[in-house]
Amino acid sequence: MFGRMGFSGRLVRVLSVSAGMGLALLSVGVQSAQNEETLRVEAAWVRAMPAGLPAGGYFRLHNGGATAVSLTGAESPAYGHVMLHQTTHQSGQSQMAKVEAVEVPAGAMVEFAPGGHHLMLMSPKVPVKLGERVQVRLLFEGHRPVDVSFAVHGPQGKMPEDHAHH
Amino acid sequence: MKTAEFARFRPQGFTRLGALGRKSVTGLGAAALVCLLTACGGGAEWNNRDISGLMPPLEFELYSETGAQVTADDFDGQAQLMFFGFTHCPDICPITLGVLAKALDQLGPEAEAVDVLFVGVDPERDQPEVLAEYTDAFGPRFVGLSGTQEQLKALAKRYRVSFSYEDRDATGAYGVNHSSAVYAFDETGKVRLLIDADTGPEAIAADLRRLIREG
Repeated sequence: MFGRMGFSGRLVRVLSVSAGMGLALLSVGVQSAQNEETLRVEAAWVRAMPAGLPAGGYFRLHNGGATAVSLTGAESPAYGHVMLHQTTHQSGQSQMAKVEAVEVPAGAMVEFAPGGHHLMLMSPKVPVKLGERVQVRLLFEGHRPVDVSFAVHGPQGKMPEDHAHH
Repeated sequence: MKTAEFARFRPQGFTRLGALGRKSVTGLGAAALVCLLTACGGGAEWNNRDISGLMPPLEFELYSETGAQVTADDFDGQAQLMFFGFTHCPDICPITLGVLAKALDQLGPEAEAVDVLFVGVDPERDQPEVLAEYTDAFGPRFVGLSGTQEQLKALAKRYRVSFSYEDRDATGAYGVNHSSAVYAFDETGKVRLLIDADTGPEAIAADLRRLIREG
């Protein structure tokens, strides 16, 4: 359903930029030429939860460029609010905290994976269904935004066979 | 990938129990010590930590996902797994419940002898109907519970866990800190195992099978 919204289209990009950042329009054009395909996102999926509850978003982000970039946020037409989060574990306690930014050094890969960094996708605008895809725009410092299509999985997530590793 | 899925939430605390049952403590001497202290009958080691006798039997007063007031007596005669979490938790809580769901799948019909009690420690948002939808996503053996702050604090204290709330952000959302442990009780309500989801569905299923068959 969201795949048809043209989220990655030029119109949306221009509209979002013009919302308060007219000056940035020029630099977006320049940057996109410089940074074409320096960032690569793969294995993107969301853990959709029932009852309009927040979903978790996961992906691998490769920075093939010569300079570090910083992931500073995300937005999605399918959710009211998206945050960068990290689950941490200490002394038998699990903690979920907001993260302001995640740096990806040049040539490095950062993984948003279950039990660690994740997107917290809140307030789904309509029920997000299994098998669908949702569009998410990752926002960076040092790079133009990157639009990513996330596969939708259920609460039990992507459970490949190799999870039973003992 | 598999390591990333589970490796980061190994319960590390419980220092008061630390000397007894860590999986890293292996060998005959340790097994004998554990058996001496816990009167285990089978001889073989559990995959998860045997905490028999180290915590009080299952007891609580909470509300269930149907809105009814319930106590541990309402779940009598079943083995119980108890996990503290919250419904606005899109990562570690569903990961843990998903591992337990896989373990129960492996038990087949024997899973009927097990209830999984998901205790929502965020009652402001863990309302009965939300708890019901959340736990239903993991299967019919999963039951959502929550209660007043006093009820939840009493239960947390009883099992030496704590929970706390982060500050609200601009949208009013907040995180909740909670224990990552899963407690297993036998059909009489006696505490038996401290389950670490990181041991994986097979190991947990084997422990549960033994718990059900041997009591």
